Amino acid sequence: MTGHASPFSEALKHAVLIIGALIVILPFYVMVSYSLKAPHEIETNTGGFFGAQEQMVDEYCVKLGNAREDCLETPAIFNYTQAFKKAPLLRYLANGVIVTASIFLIQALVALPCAYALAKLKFWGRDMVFGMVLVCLLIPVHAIALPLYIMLAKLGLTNTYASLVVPWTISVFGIFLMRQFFKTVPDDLIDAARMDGMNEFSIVWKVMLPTAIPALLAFAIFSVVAHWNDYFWPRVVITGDRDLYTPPLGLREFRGGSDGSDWGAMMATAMIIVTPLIVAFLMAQKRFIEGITLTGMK
Amino acid sequence: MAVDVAASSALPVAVQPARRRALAPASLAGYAFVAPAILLMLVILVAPVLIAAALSFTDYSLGNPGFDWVGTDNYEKMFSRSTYTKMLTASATYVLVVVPASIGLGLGAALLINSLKRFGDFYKTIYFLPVMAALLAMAIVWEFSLHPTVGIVNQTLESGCGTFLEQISDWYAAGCARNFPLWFGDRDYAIWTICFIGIWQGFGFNMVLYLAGLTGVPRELYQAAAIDGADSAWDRFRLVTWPMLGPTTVFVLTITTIRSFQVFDTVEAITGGGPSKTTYVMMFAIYEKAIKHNLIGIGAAITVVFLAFVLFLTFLQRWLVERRVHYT
Amino acid sequence: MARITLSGIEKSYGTTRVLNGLDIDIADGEFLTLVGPSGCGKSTLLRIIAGLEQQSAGDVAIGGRVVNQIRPSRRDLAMVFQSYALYPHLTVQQNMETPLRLRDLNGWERMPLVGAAMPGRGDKLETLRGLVRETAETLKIEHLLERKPGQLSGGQRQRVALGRAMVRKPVAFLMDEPLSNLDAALRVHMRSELAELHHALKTTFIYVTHDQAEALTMSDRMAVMMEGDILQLGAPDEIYLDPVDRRVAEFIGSPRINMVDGEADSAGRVIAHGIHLKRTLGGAHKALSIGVRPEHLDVLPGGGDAESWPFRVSHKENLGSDYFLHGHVNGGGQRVIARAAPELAAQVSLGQEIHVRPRPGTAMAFGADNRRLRFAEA
Repeated sequence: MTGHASPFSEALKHAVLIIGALIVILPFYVMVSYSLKAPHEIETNTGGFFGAQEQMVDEYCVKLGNAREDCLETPAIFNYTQAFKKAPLLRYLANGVIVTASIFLIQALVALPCAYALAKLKFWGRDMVFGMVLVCLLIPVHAIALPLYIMLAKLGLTNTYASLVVPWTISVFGIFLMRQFFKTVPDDLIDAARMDGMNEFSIVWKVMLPTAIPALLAFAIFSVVAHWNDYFWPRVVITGDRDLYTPPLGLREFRGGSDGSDWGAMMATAMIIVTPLIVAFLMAQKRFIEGITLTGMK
Repeated sequence: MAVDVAASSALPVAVQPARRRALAPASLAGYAFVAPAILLMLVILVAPVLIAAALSFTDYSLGNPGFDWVGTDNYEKMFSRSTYTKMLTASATYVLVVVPASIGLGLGAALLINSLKRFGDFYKTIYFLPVMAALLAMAIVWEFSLHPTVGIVNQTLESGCGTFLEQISDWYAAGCARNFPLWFGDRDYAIWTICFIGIWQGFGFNMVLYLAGLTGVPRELYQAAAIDGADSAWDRFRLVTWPMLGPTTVFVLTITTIRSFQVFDTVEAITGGGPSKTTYVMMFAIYEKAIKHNLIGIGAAITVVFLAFVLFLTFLQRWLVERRVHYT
Repeated sequence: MARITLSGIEKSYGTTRVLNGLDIDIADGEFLTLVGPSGCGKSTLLRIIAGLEQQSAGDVAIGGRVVNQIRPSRRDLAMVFQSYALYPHLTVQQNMETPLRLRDLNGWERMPLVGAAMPGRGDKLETLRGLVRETAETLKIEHLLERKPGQLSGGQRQRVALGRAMVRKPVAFLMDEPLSNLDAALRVHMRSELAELHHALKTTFIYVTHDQAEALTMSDRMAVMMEGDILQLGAPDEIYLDPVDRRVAEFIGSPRINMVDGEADSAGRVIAHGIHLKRTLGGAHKALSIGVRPEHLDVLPGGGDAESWPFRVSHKENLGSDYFLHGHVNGGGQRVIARAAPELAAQVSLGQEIHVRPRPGTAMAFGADNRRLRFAEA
């Protein structure tokens, strides 16, 4: 049936999709381009995509009493070095890695045994526990941010790594997902492991975990993307301590303190924050789309 | 021989109690395995809901030694004070614009891409990029792109002045005569611009879900429709595609609505709820009132209303899926 | 009603050819079966007739009119799909109405809200409902009209799919393995129902199946297809008793025809695994295959003669009405099956050495190229 499409309608479809693609791409274009350009090029909208890359004078450097010729910079290099100099961006990135990695590891540590028990072990009250999982699936963590914040504040835990990680340690969705996956693992495999003398604990980590790698990987992508990009929760629990800023918080801080002259460096910061996931996505698109749309399985 | 037979016939009897004992460690392990999860669910998910519900009837503030029960004052405020009615208006506007638009665009993109002979994956990749990028970072880039004077959008619009565009659009002519919109600074534009970013960010996600849904439509149904006389694309869409995408649509609708209610990053980073509270959405209100200004009671009330919306939508989804779109 | 003519139909996907120039003339009201193993191109051929696929070369003519460029819906054919392809969101009534609505209502009348306001629509719908009711009565599915396909059993869905095809009185029915999703008992039952339906409707049926039993029981004529060619086209009896190709002989008939090695000497006398058949071929042949159907082997429990093979029984298969005796002839490697009446089979025990003899005039010889070799008239 699709074989009858005329070249004209095919071209029309491409035209519509290309216009859409241009609008979608626009901010990415701006971000990449401006992270390379000098401030005056940004203000006057000149210099094309890459900017002229002429030497420019860093006025702040001059103010510090250096000679003008010592303060000459190439815009692209200047923007990216400024991104790291103006704020402890490396520290922010490290925080981001620490937080997302801890969240995922704890989520897996909690969810895998629980999912295994719900899928394969028989014990009184199992259906009740699963019912509880289904009910909790309805509660978005962002929505209950306020009571969580009060609890953490009462415990004196705001402005700590713990406050960034704790609310996400339980992924009800992860439990649900892994349980559905474990359901498909044949009972015979587990019985065989028991016959071989494994206890339940080693069954989870030595038998179930290896079979669950594809599902776990998809869940890892889902979890890491959500928490690397999360801005709301860090904003709530990290109020003063810059050392605990995650990348989005760091960028927000940069934006807040900006007087409008360092847009180039700000765009460079945005680039540095956005690039890791985008590159990973472009390299493993199928897995990423699978992971991000996991929620569609519910 | 005789001994063997006797032993094996006795075996089932002997095995029975042994098996029951063998089950015990497994069920012990079961409790051990679910215990951490149960504890965390109770503390992190269930308790906060109850706490929010309780606090919504108080005037509690962090740091105060005690609090008073104030009945439904907080809820009454929410539906009477202009700040909160503006909040409800802003959230409702955002949801009512972003949900249909991002679903419509997602479905449209999926149908177009699905019908392409080549390069479908290319568009799919591009449209999915915003889903991957940190929304806060992209919000700042959008803010800059839509900057009234140096932003690329207004500069591009200005470069079109003096051309035929001025003749065909009064809006364009007005923009050239005075200036083009301030976007985030203009109370007539701010909420729509925030909506636009929401659509920009979210429709790729819906597109991917629809593409997955489309692969599940049996080809034989299209062939049956072709033989039955569904000759136009519209007839095929009405007879096969749209009904078969029913479950996907219900799901996409629910998840997009819940996400739209949660919009925060763009508002916090760009408009701060303004101008004149036109972009004062619920999540931002909770953040500003309860966390920044320590007005816990009203924040808790907003949280409860928020949760009620989410639960209502999810149950509506379950009901729709079971009653209407589940065909098997 | 019309005759359907296929001439020189070819189909290629890229460099892969799946149909090699086929010609078939299907008479008005005929029940024609396309039968062959999976991948032989039979479904592709059916889809080309339906217009769901475009042939690479050749013409499809319906009632003398070439329809190559005509849309599927305008060919006035109906199709029953293997998966039934019922619209899951519509009731049985609506499913059966769909082809009529699409044909008889115009675009405006089909619009969701506007349609109800169009003049004359009510009368048209009343006519359509009458047609649906009439068809439902024929198929005895009136009580299912308000249900959705998901609430029906396999057999009921099958009937609804037939009903959707019948309701607009097409010039021909195309059926793509319509019974293969049913359980065995229902499948056998539906065979006779379909045959009766064909008899009652007197419309052309083109029926695709991989099940030779369906082809033999229902068709007026059957076309045996393999690797994109029609090997033989004819009445079921003719195909079964007089196959022109070894592959046809082997595909049609259950259990399979027995094949034993043979040769023909310089005088053309045929020797099959040690025994002389009283038949001659035109000349000498080194490698012949001699085919004898299981029911054409006489079982001789007592003793053999010059025209029989010694046969060691390795397995007795009881079908109730008949027995199939499995074994090897001449102690050799070739497995042979012979049919025996129960009384006769009772005299035979496992491992026993008996004799089997091809009934005179039933053996068929096939050359190394699979072609049938005709015996000279005795």
